[in-house]
Amino acid sequence: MLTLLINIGSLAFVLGLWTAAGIGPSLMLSPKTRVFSWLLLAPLLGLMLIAAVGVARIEYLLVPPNPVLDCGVLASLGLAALYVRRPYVYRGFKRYRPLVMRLSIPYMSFLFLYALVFAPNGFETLSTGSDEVMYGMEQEELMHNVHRGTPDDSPIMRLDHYVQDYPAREISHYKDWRRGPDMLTVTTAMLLNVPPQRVYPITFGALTLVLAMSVLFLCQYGFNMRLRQAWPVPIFFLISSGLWTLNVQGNFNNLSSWPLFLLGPWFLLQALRRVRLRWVFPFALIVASVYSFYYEPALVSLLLPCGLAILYCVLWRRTSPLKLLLVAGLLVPLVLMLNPTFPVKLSMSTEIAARSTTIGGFAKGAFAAAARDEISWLRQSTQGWRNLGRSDWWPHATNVLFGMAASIDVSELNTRVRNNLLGHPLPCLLSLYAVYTISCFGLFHNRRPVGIIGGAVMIVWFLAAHMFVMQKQFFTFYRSAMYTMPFAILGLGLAFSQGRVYLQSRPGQARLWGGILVGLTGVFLFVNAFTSGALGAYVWSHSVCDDRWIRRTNPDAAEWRSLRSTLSQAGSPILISGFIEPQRLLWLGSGIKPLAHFMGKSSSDAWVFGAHATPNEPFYPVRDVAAMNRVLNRFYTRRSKAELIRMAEKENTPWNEAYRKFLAKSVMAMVPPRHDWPAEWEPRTDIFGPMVLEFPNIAAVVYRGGDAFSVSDGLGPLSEDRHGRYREFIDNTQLAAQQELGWVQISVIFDGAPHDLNLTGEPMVRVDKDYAGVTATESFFRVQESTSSVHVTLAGKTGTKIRSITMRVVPVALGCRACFQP
Amino acid sequence: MSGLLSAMNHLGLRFFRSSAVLPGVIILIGLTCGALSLAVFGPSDPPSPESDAWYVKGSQLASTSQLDEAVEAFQAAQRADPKKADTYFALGTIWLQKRDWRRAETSFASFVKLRPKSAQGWVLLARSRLELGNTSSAMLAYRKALSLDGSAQEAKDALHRFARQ
Repeated sequence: MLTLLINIGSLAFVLGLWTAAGIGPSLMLSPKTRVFSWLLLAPLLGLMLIAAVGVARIEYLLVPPNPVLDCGVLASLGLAALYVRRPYVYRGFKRYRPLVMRLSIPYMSFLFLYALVFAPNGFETLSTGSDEVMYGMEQEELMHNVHRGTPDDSPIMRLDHYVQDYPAREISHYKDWRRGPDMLTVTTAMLLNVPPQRVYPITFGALTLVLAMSVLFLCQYGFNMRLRQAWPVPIFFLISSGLWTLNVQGNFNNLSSWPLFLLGPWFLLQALRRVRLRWVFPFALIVASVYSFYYEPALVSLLLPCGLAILYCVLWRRTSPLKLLLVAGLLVPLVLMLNPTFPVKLSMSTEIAARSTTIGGFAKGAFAAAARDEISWLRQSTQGWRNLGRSDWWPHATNVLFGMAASIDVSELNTRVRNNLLGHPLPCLLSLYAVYTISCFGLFHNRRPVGIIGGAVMIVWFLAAHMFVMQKQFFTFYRSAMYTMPFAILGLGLAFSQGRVYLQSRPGQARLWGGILVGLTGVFLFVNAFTSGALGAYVWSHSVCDDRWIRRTNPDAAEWRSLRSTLSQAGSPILISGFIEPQRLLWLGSGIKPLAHFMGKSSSDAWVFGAHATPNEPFYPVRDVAAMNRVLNRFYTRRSKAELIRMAEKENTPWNEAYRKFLAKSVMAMVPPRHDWPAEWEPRTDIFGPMVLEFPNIAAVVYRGGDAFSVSDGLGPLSEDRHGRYREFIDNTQLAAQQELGWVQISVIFDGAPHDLNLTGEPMVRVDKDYAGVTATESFFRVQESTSSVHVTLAGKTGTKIRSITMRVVPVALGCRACFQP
Repeated sequence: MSGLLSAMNHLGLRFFRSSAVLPGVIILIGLTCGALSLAVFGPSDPPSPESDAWYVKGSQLASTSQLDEAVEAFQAAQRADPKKADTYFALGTIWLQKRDWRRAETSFASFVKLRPKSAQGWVLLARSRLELGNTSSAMLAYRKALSLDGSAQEAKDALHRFARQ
């Protein structure tokens, strides 16, 4: 209950903070009669301003973030604006009070349910990819090191912290990076004094609410709808399970830019109609923010609709060139003021676009070659049109895009539905087109310019994405189609609203069409609610100890604290061995931060980036000054070139040399759960296994030196036969170990029948496994609270050959709900 | 009832009396059904990195013809995640190479149970059954393969041969 209240409070705090920061501009820019409605935009304007100031500090002023000062100034300006505009606000509140109460129900419900989903464990980063983990580590760098002059304030990665530094050190200093959403999380994390990994879902939830409020504003003004009619549209965004997909797959930047892509063309249209700061300033803020939030799809999501808006104004509304020039004249200085590094980002994004397409060829003057490439690509693409009808990838795309199944199959029913759909590509293809058709109806129906532009962009993008289907690049198709989702969901919401109007006010056939529209869009709502319900219940009912689908990161959680405290006793870099997923390696690196570590060969073989890709060469070739300069020019840093070169010199060792040293020094290793001795260490010489601490579902910690327990006399000398090493059992033997609270699992593998050897103490469970004459017996004992020790007696048939005795400690005192139970 | 409605009106909650409540009802039912589906059907089988590691190891060993070691690795992968279909297929192909038809048949039967739409799986199952002398069940498996993939040549040839006999 307390966690639920804290969660609700945290979400409310973030929304309040963004609103306070944006209330000033929204009140001062709004028409006097529409002050209250413009308050819907306050959190969006606020978050863009907070991010803009944060980004300017990191990229332009080269100073660390200072959210207390920045948010304090913005909130004070907001309070002043509130004071100036108080009569209008009061009048608006009086007029709209009953409506506001109704309108707030879906938002409050979302806030409550979102907080409830995270109630058992508190807010924590959920990830199925690597991006979310990377964001957390990068944000930690921004909070604690970047531009602070600390020893770690450098973009140079350390070889003995490679997994942690790889996604954080360089990126947090990169010039070419979308840093806006990071600054939102950093601001909240610094103000609440909690790690960014705990703030990530808070930012996500609050961003979803802001997106819904922005959509409501757009419906009201862009589509000229009354609030009574417009209120269901944002609900389509609130319940979309696609947003969950973005949450667990790290597309944080995509979500944060959805409201900007939707509102941008409308503000431009207004600015071109009446050249006023009221329209130009929000548009400038949107353009500046898109280039620090998510500039990759901006060419199609922002620049294409804005181009269409300009065409519409010039051709349809006969907007004079003077007006266009005036808007541009206002826009450019505003954008530069709001995002001083805008030209750098623009040139870099253009360079990327040029490099990755044949435009680069045209730019270089290689016209003939570029044209030949383009024609050959188009010919190849169009030859594959038959893939459209028979691709078994359609069910995947429809499932995920429209929420029929979560991107991760957390529920068995979900998996069954998905598997059944997999055999039916054609119905899935038709349903995909049906959804886009309904969406087009919603966008085009009112013939509002913003709807027509949004619909046109959606159609162009969706059709263009089919080129990838023809080339059998289905994943690229899915990624491209995903960018049309803000327009598609908006269209569906508008169609639902229109259907309700038909149902309520029109007679005869229109009512039938209204019923069909409401029914079809209602199905969308239902399946999304269903998938969100299953996913939410899954997140609620699992924890880091038993969740094998979603990796959860919360550095403050007992499991991670206990792991860090165990590993901190090592005093040398921790060997990470046997993990083969780069995402899991990043997750572990994040969890044990800031402890020194290195990857064993069994792990680095699966990690093909950076130093490990060319193990015989130094990663920072500092002697080649020209090359070094090229690298350093990519960073925003206060460090001088000489300082950086000095820092790089420290890491100027080929990985193979560093690895040998680390391996020789290492005394503790992290291996996958239920594994033991890492392959990189020299083999053990006796039958007694190493001391292993098990952190369920995270990792097992193996100690290199010493024995896990003491053994009294009772076993014969070490001998060897064709099956390997063994000791003979002679007489009853005492095994004793000093341990903290928890469960101890002792496994004995011996030749013979299951009860030839017995372990006695206070066994909770005994499990025997018979492998053709070799028996493995596992017994679990609870550590005595009074003595913090375990005493076990090994008794049985004399002469039994014991192949191994190992001990594994499971610290259930961690407090996780679903910890290991024997 | 009328008292409740008038209280709603008084509180400005006339909203609940109109069709406006429809999206809320749809969402509520959807969320409840979704949560219940997890409770009733349980979580699905998650990916197993441990099993994947063994599978990769097994494939490496099999590619260098170390078949016994590869079998051990694949069996470890099977133990770590019994629902991973690829492991059964890989084991089946090794048993075929080692001419252990009985085990091959068991492996491919498990494989097609998990991947009933794999024509190749049915073909190899049929081949194992044919080697074991179970002609009728082999023909059934060939027919199944042919129904899934009309171009499965081995299935066509075998059925043609069988028809001539």
